Amino acid sequence: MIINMIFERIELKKGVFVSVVKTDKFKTNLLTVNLLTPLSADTASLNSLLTDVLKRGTVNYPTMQSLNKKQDELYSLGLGSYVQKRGEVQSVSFELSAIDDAYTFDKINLLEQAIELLSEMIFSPLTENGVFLADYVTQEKKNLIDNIKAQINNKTSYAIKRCHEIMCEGEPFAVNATGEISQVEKITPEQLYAQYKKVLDTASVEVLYVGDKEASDIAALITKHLPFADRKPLAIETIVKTSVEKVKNQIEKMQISQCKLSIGLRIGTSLKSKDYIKFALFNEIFGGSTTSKLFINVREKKSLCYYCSPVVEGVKGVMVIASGVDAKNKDVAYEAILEQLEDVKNGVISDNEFNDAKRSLENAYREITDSPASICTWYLSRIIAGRTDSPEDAAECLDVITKQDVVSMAKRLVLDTIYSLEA
Amino acid sequence: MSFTIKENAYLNERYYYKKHKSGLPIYVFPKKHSTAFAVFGTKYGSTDATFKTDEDAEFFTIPDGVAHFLEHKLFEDENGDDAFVRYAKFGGSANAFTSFVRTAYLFSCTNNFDENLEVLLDFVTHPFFTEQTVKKEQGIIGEEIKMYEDNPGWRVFFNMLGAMYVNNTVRNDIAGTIESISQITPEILYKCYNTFYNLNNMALCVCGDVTPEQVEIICDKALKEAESIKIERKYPEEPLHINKERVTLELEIAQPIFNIGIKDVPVSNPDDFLKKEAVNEIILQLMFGKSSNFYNHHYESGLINNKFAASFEQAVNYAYVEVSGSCENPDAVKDAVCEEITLRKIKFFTEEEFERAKRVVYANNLHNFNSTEDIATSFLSYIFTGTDILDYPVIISDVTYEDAKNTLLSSYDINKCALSIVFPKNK
Repeated sequence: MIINMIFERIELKKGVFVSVVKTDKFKTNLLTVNLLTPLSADTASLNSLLTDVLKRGTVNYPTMQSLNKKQDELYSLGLGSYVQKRGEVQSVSFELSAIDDAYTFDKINLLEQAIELLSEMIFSPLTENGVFLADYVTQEKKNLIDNIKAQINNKTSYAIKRCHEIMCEGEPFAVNATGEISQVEKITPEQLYAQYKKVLDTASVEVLYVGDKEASDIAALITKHLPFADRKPLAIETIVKTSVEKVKNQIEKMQISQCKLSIGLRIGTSLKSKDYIKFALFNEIFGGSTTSKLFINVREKKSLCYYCSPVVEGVKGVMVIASGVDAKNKDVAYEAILEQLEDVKNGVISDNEFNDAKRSLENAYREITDSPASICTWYLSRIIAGRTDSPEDAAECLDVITKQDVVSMAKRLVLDTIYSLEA
Repeated sequence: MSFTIKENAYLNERYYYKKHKSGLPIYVFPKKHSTAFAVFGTKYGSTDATFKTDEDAEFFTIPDGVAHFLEHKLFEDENGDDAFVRYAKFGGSANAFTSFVRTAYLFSCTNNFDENLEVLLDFVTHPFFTEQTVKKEQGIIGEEIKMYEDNPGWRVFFNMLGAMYVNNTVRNDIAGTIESISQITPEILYKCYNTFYNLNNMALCVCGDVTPEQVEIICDKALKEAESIKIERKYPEEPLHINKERVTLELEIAQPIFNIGIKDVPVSNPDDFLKKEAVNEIILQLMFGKSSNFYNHHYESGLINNKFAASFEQAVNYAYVEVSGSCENPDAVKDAVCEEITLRKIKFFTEEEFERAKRVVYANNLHNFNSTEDIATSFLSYIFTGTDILDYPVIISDVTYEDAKNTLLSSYDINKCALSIVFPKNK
């Protein structure tokens, strides 16, 4: 086994952290800046629009074209901003991806120049009369509305999103992190700028870096170029419900060929808990792998659907079993899926299934260490859940988990919502 | 015979090559990652619909979707066991895919590489098809086909191919249709298998913390010598002109999406393949990249948005430029694209712009060397086109300003431009 990754987390200012994963595996440097805010209907659309407007221009690169040309010169520097949802946290995130200095023709200090440009995007947006350019705001509002509307295009992800919304109605998790059309329409440049200032000054800041530089060098670069001040961010608590009063059942009609059946459950734990890894193993046995009960029995043996797999939101403690089935088989598929769950609850797990799942999950954890993006995703979720264990740590923990542990986790699962998108 | 070493010192990458005694070409690309990746593939994809071997008197034509069907079916052995179950003993994570020109079986693992590789080589070389197992698969693939029917991106893409091509088999869906797969029999599967899964028509690419010798030992153990085979593929005669200028469809979506295809001709000499790729990537970066006048002008006017993208696609039997996106008025985008091509033929870019675009293409390619998966899977496509993954960075830097200018003049024909649109359904 190769351990050529070192993790280090440093508090640069109050509420401003940088986490460095040093490794020589990659030819690139990846750096993300995540401003963590509470997911809320009042601000989700503002934050989402903000990440679009900030890409339009800075004081020194006032147009998108001048900014993009600069990125081209910096060896096709990847520079982005977007919002992402982790439980009930909405992260306003910025990302840069640069080839390592060693591969530049002129051996320039590419990473530092890249961070300077990232800093421009975050701290020096183009303004007029003290707020964002009205033109940029208007254009990006239209683009964002189109994007929100387009969420319907991918039926698989749309059906999962709808299931989350119905299941978590009244909880912040139901808020669409991309924004709501009615909210976006109302946004003015003034409001957007006020939100920008608020996020910049108060959000908790988590910087993540994956690449070959030393942690101290990265910390120095961040301190020099990203002038975040001390802050006292409030802890953002995600509501984790473990019981359900009444199962919700909803059918939505659309002219499509294949029915999308989404079954929403509360998993009875969350990424915060030290038990979470036991749930992860349960999930691997139940539906997470190609030797899982759902894959073998519902897809392969019964030939009921092309895909049938659980999508887990660990920070929130919910999962959706997403499947695509022939509408006439919907009820049979539903029964077959729940039957597999009952089997795990009743301890119907063969030694092979159990050991295969452990190996498969161990493999999945170790593979994370080979992708800069996966490493960032892993640590951001962990940090939000208040932990910093590595993928390797998780892989090492699997050995001691017993079948009884898995059964007890399965018993915590509670059915919440049955949603179907069908013709 | 020992392995041949190929090196790119600038990238600090190398690989080892050998034609194994079984007939299988093997490529090992050492990389100190936790994950090792192996791809075992055949030069056989959805477009190979008519073929014969030197032992056949006549050409065979098979129903659409056989290559993909075969990919699914190989996972099952005579005991009804799934290859996934066999991998699971060793923690390997397996997958497979079928494209227009190849079928590939792959796994990744962080442990037990030798055992996982043996599973891969063994199951792909042991076909087992019966009436009953074929019937069951028709059900699963039928659902897969339906799933794609609801996928607007897939539909708009295949409609574009259908608009560009008159006869070329690239216009047919990789998975076939419910009707075409109903014609598939075990005999057809065996015929295709015995033709295209001959080890001489295949390749094995491995990337990870493994040695060439280690890979060879497993090949010695798992593979039997294959008799060399000569496969003749027949592709239908394709005219230079396009089939249709415009094709539309309505689906449950929010905003129209479009694919514009500009038909080109495939290279006649494989040595020109990568150069053609590099030149076209540079031209598209210049003309439609995020820093281009075109992109910024039309983004600001609201005609296009950040979903707008352009790429060059080619194989031995086709070549085209694809411009795609989502917007209210795709017809206007097509007009603008054609206008831009016409304009740039008269007034080409500056040398400075050209150099910047080249740098972008070079840097984007470098990202592909980050992951063992990307290396192993793209490796296979290089091999099957007779090209070399480690040559590409050099080929990019060797492209001249004149090359780009000449290719734009010769290959970008606005009379060979087809537009496919998916509109939202009228409610």
